[in-house]
Amino acid sequence: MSNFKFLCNNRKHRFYRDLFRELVLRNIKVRYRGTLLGIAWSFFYSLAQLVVFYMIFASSLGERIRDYPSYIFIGLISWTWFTSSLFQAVDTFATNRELTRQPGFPTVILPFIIVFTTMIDFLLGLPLALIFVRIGGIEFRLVILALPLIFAIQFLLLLLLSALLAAIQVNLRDMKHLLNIMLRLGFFLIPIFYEPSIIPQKFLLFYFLNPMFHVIKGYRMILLDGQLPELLPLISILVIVLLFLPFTLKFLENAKYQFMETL
Amino acid sequence: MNTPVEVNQVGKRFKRYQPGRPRKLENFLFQGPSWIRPVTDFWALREVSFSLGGGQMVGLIGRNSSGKSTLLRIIADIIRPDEGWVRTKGRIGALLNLGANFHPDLTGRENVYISSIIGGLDKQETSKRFDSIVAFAEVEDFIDNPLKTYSTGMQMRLAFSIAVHSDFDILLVDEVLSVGDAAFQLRCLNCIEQIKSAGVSILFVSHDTGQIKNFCDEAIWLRHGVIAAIGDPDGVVRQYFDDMSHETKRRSRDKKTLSISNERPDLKLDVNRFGSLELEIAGVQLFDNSGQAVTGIECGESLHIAIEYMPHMDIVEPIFGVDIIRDDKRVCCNMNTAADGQMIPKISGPGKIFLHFDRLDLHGGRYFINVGIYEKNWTYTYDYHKNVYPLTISQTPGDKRGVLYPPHDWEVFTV
Repeated sequence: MSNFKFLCNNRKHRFYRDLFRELVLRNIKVRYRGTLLGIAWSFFYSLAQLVVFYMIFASSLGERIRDYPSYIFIGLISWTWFTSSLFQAVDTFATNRELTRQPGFPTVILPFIIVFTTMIDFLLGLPLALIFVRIGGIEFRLVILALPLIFAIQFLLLLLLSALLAAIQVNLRDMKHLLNIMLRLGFFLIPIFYEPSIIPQKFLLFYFLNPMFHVIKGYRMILLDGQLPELLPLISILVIVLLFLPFTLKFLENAKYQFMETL
Repeated sequence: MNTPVEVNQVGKRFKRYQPGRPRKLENFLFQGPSWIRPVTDFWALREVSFSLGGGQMVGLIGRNSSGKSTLLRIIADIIRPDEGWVRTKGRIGALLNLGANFHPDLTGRENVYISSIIGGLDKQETSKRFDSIVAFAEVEDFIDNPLKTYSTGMQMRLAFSIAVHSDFDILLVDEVLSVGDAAFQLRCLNCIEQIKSAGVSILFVSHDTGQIKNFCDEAIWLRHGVIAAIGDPDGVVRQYFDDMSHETKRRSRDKKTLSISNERPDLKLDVNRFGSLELEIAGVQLFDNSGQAVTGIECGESLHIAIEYMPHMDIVEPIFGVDIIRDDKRVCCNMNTAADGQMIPKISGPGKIFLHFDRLDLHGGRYFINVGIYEKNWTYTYDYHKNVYPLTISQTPGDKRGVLYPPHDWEVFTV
């Protein structure tokens, strides 16, 4: 977390940094404490899914895609980061009730912690993805340096959505169930294990409006095609997210007070 | 003036939800949208104003759901007031639900770090205080074991230790001192005293009015969300108790025939007699060893107290209590059936209960036997006779500074 060092110019920032780090570490420790394989489990989830999809679709959908395993794997780890963040986010207040009851606890830190914790699984999957790509016989180009850009966009997008979901859930308990359905559908509606080119022309607009479509596509273009992704949609996502993030965090802060009242 | 906490005209309104909360589609369909349905509000707090100076300790008393915790939470900025404002200066520490952020699978050490940091310290500060935290909690030998192997007492000690080792200018304490054994409670109170003398302002919620009287500079009594009294702890606590006994009186007083009061003109309700009178004390008599009714005995003689009772309804497991009070109001002896493990079965008709003292070694003087019957959970009083039954112990040598005059001998050796 050395990239947060620049924030540490006074006591409050030092406190936020330490609070953030300890809570992320706690989440990770608690999840794997006492297990034999520890954090290695995070690989196995994605690998198991990869195997399933590869076995089912390799001969049909996969035929037209070059290096199909890498193609699925990149989509899977990015999508898993997305879903596990949002699933945790929607329960933020319920699971962190005691934290938010602590005087002076900064509520806005919660979505950061969630997105960061789930990001670690993604970061662990990424080298594996690179290995797959290499085994698939694809050379890395210099464009791989643009990877952090997509990464940052997904991070910020998740931050926005996490804060939003956490806040909405306080007043609308249906959100959790709605999210569950949306994420199940989303898995099939986003080209994770198939190619965008098989999408009928008339639905393309809907795909185009989905930010995760562009994010996953971005990763693949960089890693598999060695090309710079289309910048316009990605930059638009970035601008919109940055524009709405402050309001959403404020919204989250207000939701905390409401949550504490409806206990 | 230095006022770390200022509370001005604070009001907090809560919505009272119909059973099965609204905002469900079915409610919407069958009862109309919520803005048409009447939503009843109630004020959990209203027009609460006070301030807390540096190093001052204020006690907050009141019955359950009188708004004490709501007030603490507003001051801690966990919820926001609907009226008025709160201004706080400095960092707020809290002794509210201790140990809530502990995780059973992590070690004591890991939990200390996480909880301290959640409580407002940074990592460096925690490291500096770590040894002191662990030493105070007396868990040095277990600090690298998972927390789930700790006993409840150890966990509480650790949680308390972490909480008081944090940095704060204002401390909110909510009922936490009712946990743990007596020795630990005492240490907690000493610790709070120290914190106070270090200049921290403390707001202290407790049902133990003794603690409030002993430790607080000021007390606030909240009744139904409104400040009913504020000021000197002794006065406020007395008013609070008076109000509780009024509450007792309101219960079905008028229906009862005050049979005994009529027979005994010296018994006057609310003067020397208190309670709901659902179960009356019909008479109290003192006997000596020969069975003779007496009002005085020699020091060291035995005494038998007979309490006649008369119920006006079926009473389940009441508690009988007897106090011996010296005429300078000193409580010399205080006993009750609940504390002595004497269960009283259901009472549905008149009867008698005896308390036998094999010997009573009180110093010579004038005493009163105060007798009471209480509801089985001590929530209110059925009947209590105060300073009605005198007991004289004949003169013993020496002055009245001591309470006891047990048999004794002096033995002198000269070398």
